[in-house]
Amino acid sequence: MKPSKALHSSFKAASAAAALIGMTAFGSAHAADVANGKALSDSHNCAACHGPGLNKPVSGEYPRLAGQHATYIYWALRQYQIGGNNPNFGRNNAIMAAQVQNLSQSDLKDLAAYIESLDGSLVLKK
Amino acid sequence: MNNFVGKCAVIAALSGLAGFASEASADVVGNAKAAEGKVAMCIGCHGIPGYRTAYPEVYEVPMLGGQNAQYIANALHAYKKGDRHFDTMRAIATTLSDQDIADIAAYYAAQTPQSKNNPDK
Repeated sequence: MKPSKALHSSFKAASAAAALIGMTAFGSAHAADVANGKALSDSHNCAACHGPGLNKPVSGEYPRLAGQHATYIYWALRQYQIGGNNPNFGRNNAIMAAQVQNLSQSDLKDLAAYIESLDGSLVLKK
Repeated sequence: MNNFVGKCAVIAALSGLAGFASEASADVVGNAKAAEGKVAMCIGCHGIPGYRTAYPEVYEVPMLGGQNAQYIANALHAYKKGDRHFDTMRAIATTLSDQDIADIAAYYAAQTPQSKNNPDK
């Protein structure tokens, strides 16, 4: 086999491996369990602050959540776990930090999928 | 354990300060109409369906229409002060006055499914 051909084959193998890993990651991202998200939302009393259907917060300081993008919600929750000490990311909020401290990343994705699945009054307008 | 309690006390104290700061600017009344000429920088990301960030995590930027005005204002003030971290938002928030922030918060809070898109943009 010519060196260039060998390189080509190994590149193909590497691409196939990368594609497989990518598909696995894709698969797990889509395996978010909305029912578990609802159970976690109920057990953590999210509605106590974010309101009925997570769409009518009890205070204007709390965000309306229903229908918000799952990828954003996941990252927001993840940032509360990271906390405020890193200068580049992380969010500092005592209530939310306490709420998420015992949740796995899979739990956070389930919660995010549940929140995105709710009908709410958030809209995307210019 | 003591250390944890201490941290909670510090966080509580800081939250109190943050609360005070947001109350201090609460006398600025937002004007949604005035924000029409101030939201060009917002629309570039938040007005594009499916728009995603690239770093440090890939995610869809949040929908702002219909969000609580106080929450949006607090977020912008936090970005401006550096309490909330995202380089793009910090860069934009530092250019906004308290009045700009109140106007933009009122603008997005007032949006509903029936709202027309910004006539200026």
